[in-house]
Amino acid sequence: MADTLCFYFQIHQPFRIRPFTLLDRGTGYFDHELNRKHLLSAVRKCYLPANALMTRLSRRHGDRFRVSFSISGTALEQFAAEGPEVIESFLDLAEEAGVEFLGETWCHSLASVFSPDEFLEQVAFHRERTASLFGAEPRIFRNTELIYDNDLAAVLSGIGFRGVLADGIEPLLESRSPNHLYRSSQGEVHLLLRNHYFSDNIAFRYSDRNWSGWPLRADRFAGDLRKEPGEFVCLFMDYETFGEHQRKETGIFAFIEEAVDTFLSSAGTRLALPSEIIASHSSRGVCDAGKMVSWADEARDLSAWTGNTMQKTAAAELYGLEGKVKASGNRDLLDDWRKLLASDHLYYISTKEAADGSVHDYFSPFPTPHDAFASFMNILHDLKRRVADAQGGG
Amino acid sequence: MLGWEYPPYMTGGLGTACHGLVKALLEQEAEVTFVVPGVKSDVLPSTYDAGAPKGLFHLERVGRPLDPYRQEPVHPKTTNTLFDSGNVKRRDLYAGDLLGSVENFTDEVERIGRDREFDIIHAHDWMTFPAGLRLREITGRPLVVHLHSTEYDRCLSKVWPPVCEIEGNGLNEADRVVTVSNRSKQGIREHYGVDAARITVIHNALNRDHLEVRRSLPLPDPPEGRIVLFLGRITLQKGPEYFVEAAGRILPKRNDTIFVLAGTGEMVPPLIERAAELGIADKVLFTGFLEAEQLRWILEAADIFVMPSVSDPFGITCLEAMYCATPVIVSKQSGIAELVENVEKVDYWKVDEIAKKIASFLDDPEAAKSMGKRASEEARRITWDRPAGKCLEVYGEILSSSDRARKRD
Repeated sequence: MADTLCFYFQIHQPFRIRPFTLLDRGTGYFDHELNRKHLLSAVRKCYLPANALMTRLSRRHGDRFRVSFSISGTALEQFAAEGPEVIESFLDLAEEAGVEFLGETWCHSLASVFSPDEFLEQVAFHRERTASLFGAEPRIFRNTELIYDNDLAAVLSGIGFRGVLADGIEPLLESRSPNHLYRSSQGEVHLLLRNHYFSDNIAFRYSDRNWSGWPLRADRFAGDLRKEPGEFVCLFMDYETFGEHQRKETGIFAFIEEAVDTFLSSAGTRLALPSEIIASHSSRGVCDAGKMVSWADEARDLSAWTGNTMQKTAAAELYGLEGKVKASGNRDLLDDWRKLLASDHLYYISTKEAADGSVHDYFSPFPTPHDAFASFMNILHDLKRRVADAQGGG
Repeated sequence: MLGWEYPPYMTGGLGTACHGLVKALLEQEAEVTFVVPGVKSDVLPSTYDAGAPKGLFHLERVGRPLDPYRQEPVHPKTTNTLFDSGNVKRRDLYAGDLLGSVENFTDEVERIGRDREFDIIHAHDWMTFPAGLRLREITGRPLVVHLHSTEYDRCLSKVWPPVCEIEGNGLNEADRVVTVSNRSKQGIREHYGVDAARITVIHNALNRDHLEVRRSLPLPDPPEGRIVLFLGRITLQKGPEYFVEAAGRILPKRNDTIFVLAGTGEMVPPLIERAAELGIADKVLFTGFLEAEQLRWILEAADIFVMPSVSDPFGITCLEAMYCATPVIVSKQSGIAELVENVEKVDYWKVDEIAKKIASFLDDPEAAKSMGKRASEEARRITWDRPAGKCLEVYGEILSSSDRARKRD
């Protein structure tokens, strides 16, 4: 029976673009007001109260409390500008508790899919910044939206990562349990697999009144975890689950607090950091991922970002600019281009319907995918012009 | 005079046309009361009315704004969208209880009309026809209905029967019908059986004021490279898909050219997807709805203007593009093709021919420039005094025939 829980929370905010046309030439691409509004709302509703909760749990359980995070670079940049108290509060928490910060791409990008060079640059930069902010170099990697395949494992192994997170889904598991440690088929990297049933009971279903498990009670949730076969259970989700995706009024904060308390009240239970799991467990076998998998949408593949022709067009155009943007040597151009690399912009162009579609809609600042695409392509057209100007003008 | 939009609140060519006509009528010393839906507090000191002889013009905005294309007046820059109606589905086209608004307008017009002195009732397009008929009923004054577009033009085969009924009733009951082209005259004879003897064709003209709006929005330098422009509502009626298909024939071979679609409408999503399928989405750019003062910027920035309308009673943007010295390609299925010489005319469905004409303008900038120059000179000669004079003639004819009728009684 699982006696160990591993918490990992993703913190990310993109730089959302504004409606942009030919007539907006010469003005910025990003909607500062909207981004500020989203950020301040998330700071107030989620990041600060959730960190306060983590600090409380840490004081209550001392050494037994463990929690891991990764913070995208685009979120870190926005915290620095609009919410420095969030960084302070993560630093305070890290001093107090057993906290591990994981590596990811700086821009929450799909660079692992489209540009190996850009991927390495972004990962190195994120690693360096995380190390200098929080004092420890990340040894575990979490790719954008848990995108994973064998090639990624080989690359990560080559740059010194010891573990990587992925979603615990059938293509990887081949009828095995997600609640064990596995090895990658390429390179020396271990896989920690998200238990999506338990994770999504919190992240997606917690407040869903149409769900047969509603209302989810902390004691029952903790009890079910204890009964779960395997060595450990990985609960991976957006940090924004607390207070944003699941509003405070749903009781989500009290729920997670009580669930941790209850779980730790049984003898022999513990929380563990991803690197501790790798150190203390041995691998049960190899996970083979010939195709890319992710934690997004029902399909758990890349279709959330490249599922339709508009998305494929936008991605090809975006990454097609890499060489020229970098050759221009212009910091502003590179900075704008990198902000556009956030996977979110492609996510807004999805035309999926039903349950997936409603999640895409929830996150998108645009009323329709076509609107998102038109502005994105207008921006890329403008960026291309600026790149040409920069080259022409030397 | 009864209309459904008037500057500065406009979404289409109707407001431009009414404004041009009214100004020219005033210059010829007619007295005009223009009644238009809109909130009373909307009446702003407007540059549009400057120069009107004192005391001859009265603008009345009554009730709610009527708009067959958009549910609410939306100011695009305050919402997070380029296409405020980009996703409006067909069934929503007449959303917001339009028929109720028409009835409400009819009542308001009756209220105003009871205390005014006038000789002629002149009603523009179907939404004002019931008000025109009501006014004639209570005052006995003759009614001219002025048809800028029919339900069959706007919706092609997917007409909404209640609108057709109001439209047909107005056309057949009026003392005289004015259409903006021979094509439109033919259309109402076919669709509504209107007697040709009661129809007068009066072509629209160029309203320069629409292009001379004071610029308060910051506008960038014109873009480099060549621009081929579509400007108008992105709906079946205007044929934007033929524009995108023509782009598909041309763009893969050219790196210095973009195709721009300026406007909004229900065809935006499928056309965006089509451009992506054709692999030209990086060079087919959509601007969404443009403010009046942005129109001139885009018309002047454009190297070629294409109006591939499937069914257009007139097509006033064509004159505006000509005025800006932009070479123009228009469909033979638009009323404007009857009126002007210095444009290229094609059948809207002949995509290859459209593409060929665009390519030849792109390849021969000198020829394009000279065509633009001639077009501009021609457009400048097409002024509103002539159509206004014709309207006065129509008024005179029906007044004298109704006098005769009275004498006979």
